[in-house]
Amino acid sequence: MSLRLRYDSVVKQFETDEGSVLALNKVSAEVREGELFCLLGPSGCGKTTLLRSTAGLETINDGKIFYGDEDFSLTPPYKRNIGMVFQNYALYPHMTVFENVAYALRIRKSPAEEIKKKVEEIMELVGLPGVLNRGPSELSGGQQQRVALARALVYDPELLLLDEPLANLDAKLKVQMRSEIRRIQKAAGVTTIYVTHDQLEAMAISDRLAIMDNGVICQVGTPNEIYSNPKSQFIAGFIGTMNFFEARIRPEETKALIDIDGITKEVQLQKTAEAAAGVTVAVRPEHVRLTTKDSGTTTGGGTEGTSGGFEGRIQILQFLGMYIRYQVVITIGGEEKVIQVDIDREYADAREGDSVRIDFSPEHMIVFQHGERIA
Amino acid sequence: MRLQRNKDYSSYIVLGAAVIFVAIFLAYPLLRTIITAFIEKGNPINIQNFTFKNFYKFWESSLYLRSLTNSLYISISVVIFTSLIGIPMGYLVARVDFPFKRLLLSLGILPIIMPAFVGAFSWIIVLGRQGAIRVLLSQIGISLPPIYGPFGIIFSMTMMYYPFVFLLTEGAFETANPTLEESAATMGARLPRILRTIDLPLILPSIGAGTILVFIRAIDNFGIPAVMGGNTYVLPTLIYFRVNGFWDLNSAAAISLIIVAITVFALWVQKHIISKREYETISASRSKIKMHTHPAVKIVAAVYCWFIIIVSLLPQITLLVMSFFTTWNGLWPKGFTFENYAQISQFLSGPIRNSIFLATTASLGAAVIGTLIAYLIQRRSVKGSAILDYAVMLPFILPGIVVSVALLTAFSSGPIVLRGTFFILFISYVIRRTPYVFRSVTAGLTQLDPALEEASILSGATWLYTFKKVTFPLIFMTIASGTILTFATLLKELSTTILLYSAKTRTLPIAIYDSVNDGNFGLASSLSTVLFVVVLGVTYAINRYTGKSMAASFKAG
Repeated sequence: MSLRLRYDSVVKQFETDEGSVLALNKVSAEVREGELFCLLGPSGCGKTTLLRSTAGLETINDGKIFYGDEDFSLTPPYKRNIGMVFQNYALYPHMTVFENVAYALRIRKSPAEEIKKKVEEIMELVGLPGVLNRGPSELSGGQQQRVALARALVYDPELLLLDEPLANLDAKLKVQMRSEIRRIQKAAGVTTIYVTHDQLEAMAISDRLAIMDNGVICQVGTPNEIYSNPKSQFIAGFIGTMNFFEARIRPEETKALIDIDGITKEVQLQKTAEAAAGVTVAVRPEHVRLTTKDSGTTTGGGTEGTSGGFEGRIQILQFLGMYIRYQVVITIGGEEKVIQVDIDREYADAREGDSVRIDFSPEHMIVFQHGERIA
Repeated sequence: MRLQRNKDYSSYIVLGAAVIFVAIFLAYPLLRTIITAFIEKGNPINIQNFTFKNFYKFWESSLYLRSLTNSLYISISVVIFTSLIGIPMGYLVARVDFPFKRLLLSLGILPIIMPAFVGAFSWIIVLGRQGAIRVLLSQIGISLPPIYGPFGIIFSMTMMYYPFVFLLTEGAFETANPTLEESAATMGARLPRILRTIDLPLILPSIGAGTILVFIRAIDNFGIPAVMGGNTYVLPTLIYFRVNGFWDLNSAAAISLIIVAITVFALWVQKHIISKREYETISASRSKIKMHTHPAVKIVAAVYCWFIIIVSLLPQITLLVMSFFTTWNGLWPKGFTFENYAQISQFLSGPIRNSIFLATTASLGAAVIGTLIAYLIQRRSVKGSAILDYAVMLPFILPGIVVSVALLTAFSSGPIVLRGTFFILFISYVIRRTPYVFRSVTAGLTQLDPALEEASILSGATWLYTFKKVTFPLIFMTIASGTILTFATLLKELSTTILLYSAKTRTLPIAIYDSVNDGNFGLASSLSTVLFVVVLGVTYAINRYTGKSMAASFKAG
């Protein structure tokens, strides 16, 4: 796969009344030809600024944005040949659907027959033929979304930018449209950058994604890489559900003993750890084992004995379809803590109020020190 | 596609031109006026000649001092009387169920549409020494103070400006959330207490907004004191006297600064004391406002409101009657004639044509400048846009006669001499009216998502193409309504024109003003009737077109 878009130490500062705000702090990343690349992060992390800088709607203060081999950091937006779908679609209310979609082709002075043909083709591709003469306000939210996509794609842009395109749709339509967007993107074969704050959406739709926080990109990878191997405590907490435990560490060469309120586990170190500072241990809910105390049966991630781990009580049980999520209250260091445990439906026979024991294996533990992953 | 790196300069050229216009024809004259106020008449402008002499006259000359106290006394009296009439009327119309209320609200606009000095001279017709109403009242033993002087001015202004207080108060009472009153009632509060503790605090900002409009108009007004002042001078007529009689722009500039200072102080009071707390209305489910339905209340309300409306419409009725007669001394007009209307033909090629020409070109000019500056401030975060905002809005509080003093100060001598030309009138009209278009376009632009324009730019469109195809069509309605309203108000412009016109640039209001001064009331009435009908027709049309109520469009101007 060839390289399409490259950010090289991009810096963007905004001047506000309270001084300047660093929206992008030396952002570097690469986007490959034809992929759907998500920018994911909480609001204010800089993802929309990076997208708008890519479009040229914001002028970057430092760094470069390369397109193939060409530096287009200073190219005015109307010469970048980029398609963009805005959060509220930005359809022109005074034009019909046809005029909206044909807008860019008319600027390019395409002949009338060609415009007609291209508009019809693209409307076919986005799955919305036959509404060309209607006004945007006569369409439903999902239909407006498709028109916005068609308008952004009709002139074969070199890059497609999507700014929170599903934010205004209801939950069911959201799920439907996100596979539609991926289908259309693959069919058009256009390199796409997709901004969202919804991690489920980002995980579901992207080939690769970048997690952003405070104006920097924290990690880039496939959804699976990021879910399984978060590089930092922030990402571990931001993606999916995660249980965190405060712990002490005793490092020995490449290994370390982790002590969570008296329960010790041995892990392999990836980095050198400080003995003096505490650590945070993260475990996914599906990796927590749950043992009902009275019956002695074991459920979930493994079949160890009934001893070891933490004693607790099931406070709440949520039925989530494939699995059941238990919220188990345990006591660590004299304080109560709620642990999320996911158990396959067929094995889940524990009930609310049951006394249980929870535990997890060292290979499922991700250990952070000062927010950085060490094991 | 070859990516090139040349920028799109079209926006800089177009928007820059608008800024330069504002700088030359607004900022420069105003600065020049401020400087001129501190230079004695006849001296060139330099630092050695700096003096406060022009301001000392407010101590030394009794004419200056009397003008100042008259201005304050008249304006404050008008604020008090318009409040006394307008606030109860607003409450009654909003909360009492009586017939023909919609008609009453529409008629309430008419006094404001009337050119001020025309209203004044119609009152002279019926309340002058031989006026029909004065004669009528004296027959039942009521004698009124003379119409020439403070009484006439205060009375005319009150009957002309009370709709601002009335309409804003009515609107506030109508939109107030009735559940607040209901909850007070369930806690045991009776009507007087509810009015005092719930309604009054909530509508106080609206009353403040209404009274400040009245105050600014009263202190700025030239036409009414010019027509019925006699030897009662106020600040605007004093300016006219200094410029027209002595060509003393230095004193005129100093008096102008005093008026502006008073206006700014009044605005400050309104903003920080009266309307300090604007309340967000939290409306969940709106229940209908409970109306008073007691027959006695209904009769009192109907009689009071209709009496006020009919009195305030007497000038319009008087004009219409007078326009068909030669004289009107005593109870009945005499000498029925169509001659007054026949004479209008003499004015077609002169004043009427000039007025239409100037109002058309200047409202289009104001539309272009107002739109471009609004766009610049809303869409480009340029440095100094706050200053530009203030500069463009400044003429909103500048009396018309002050604008003309500023333009005379700047363009009577020196590199650009415009005195006596159509162009100086055009400039003065554009400068005075730009704030109205500017505000309406700003409102339109804040409601227009910038993403629409960004989408166009990304599609490959230049700024100019985007403005033409996306921005302009979408804000066209707000521009058009602001422009047409401007056209209507410019047709009746007097206070700026009075110092700037020359023999060849006489306008229709000047012609009416001269006929009044010549005592030719019949001709003045027929011209005024035509003017009034045109202004009313245009205003009505634009409100039908935009779907706004007549009242809404006159809250601002």
